[in-house]
Amino acid sequence: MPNTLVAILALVGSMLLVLGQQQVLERDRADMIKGEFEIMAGGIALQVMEHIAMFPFDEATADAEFDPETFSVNDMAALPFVQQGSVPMDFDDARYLEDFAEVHIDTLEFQVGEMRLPFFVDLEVYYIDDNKVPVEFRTDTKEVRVSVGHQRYPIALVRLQRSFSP
Amino acid sequence: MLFNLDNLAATLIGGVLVLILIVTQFRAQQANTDRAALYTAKVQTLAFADVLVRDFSNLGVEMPRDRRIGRHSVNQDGLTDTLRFSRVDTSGDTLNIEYRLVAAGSFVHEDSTTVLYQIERYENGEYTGGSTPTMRSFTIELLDEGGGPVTVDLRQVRQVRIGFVNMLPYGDPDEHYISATYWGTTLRPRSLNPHIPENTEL
Repeated sequence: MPNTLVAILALVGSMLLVLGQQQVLERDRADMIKGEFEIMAGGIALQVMEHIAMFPFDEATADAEFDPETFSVNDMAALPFVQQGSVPMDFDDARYLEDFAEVHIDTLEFQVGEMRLPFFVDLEVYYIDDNKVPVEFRTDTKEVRVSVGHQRYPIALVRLQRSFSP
Repeated sequence: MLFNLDNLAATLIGGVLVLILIVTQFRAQQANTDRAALYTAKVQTLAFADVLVRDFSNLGVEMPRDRRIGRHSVNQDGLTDTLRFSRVDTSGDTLNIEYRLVAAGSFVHEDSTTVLYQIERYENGEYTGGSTPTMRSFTIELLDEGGGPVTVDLRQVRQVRIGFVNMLPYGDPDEHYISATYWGTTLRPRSLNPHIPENTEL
């Protein structure tokens, strides 16, 4: 009888150990999936930044030959890894960098095999000084920040920043 | 008698305990292998993506419009077979870059055979490296301003859409929790902007 009791106690202890191992395994798998989401979000962020980079610094420095009418949100809609979702009107009307400030894109999709994973994008534009600190007055440099996230995660997966000068 | 039964029960329980520990250890090792393989694949994916972004961002720099993009072909599976483009490097010489898709192996998954490829990179005809031989898919699409495909007049290209799928470098794909990493983006090389003056002296 005592041997059986000891064996049962050892069994209970090992079950607790296995439970802990299983929790570690599940956490590892969740991290692996998040890593894949981050890679996709990075591609989307780069794509959005490339689109924004086409626009002039501001009205005063706009190239006389540049025609904002030829660059529209339809460019985004035709991309294979990023499909147009519910894009706010401001994005379509953008003429200069600052027009992208506080723009939120609800859904940009990334194709994975037969699936399309929806990501959201938040844009910020602000003036920065020589120390790359955001300021409230006009300077010669603007910084655009593209944040890409997925509803599965509470914070943005990827943030891409780039500075622009006239 | 009771003493023997007690020992027998304890032995049985001990046997179950050992089996549980063995299985747990096996699963932990498998998870470690999975994690290492995925990390390796991710590093390879991002390293190759860096090369692609750097090359295509500088596509056509200082080149006449009709010489920026050369050959572009697609195989029967819709994958990009060959893409050749040029730019002028920092020393003023013309640099011809070519990407070629080469079959590098295969594996069987769910009764279907999947071909793996290696993407080779050439500069002025010389091999300079490329991807690992674990690519399941590689596509480069040349797009016009509206996002439509350009197949005839390559001078109309304004955007380059790139994507590839990289399989894990080792292990059976059926046993991996995640067996492939996906990467893709669309670039707008500055030199393809029609408002940028072209170099007609070359």
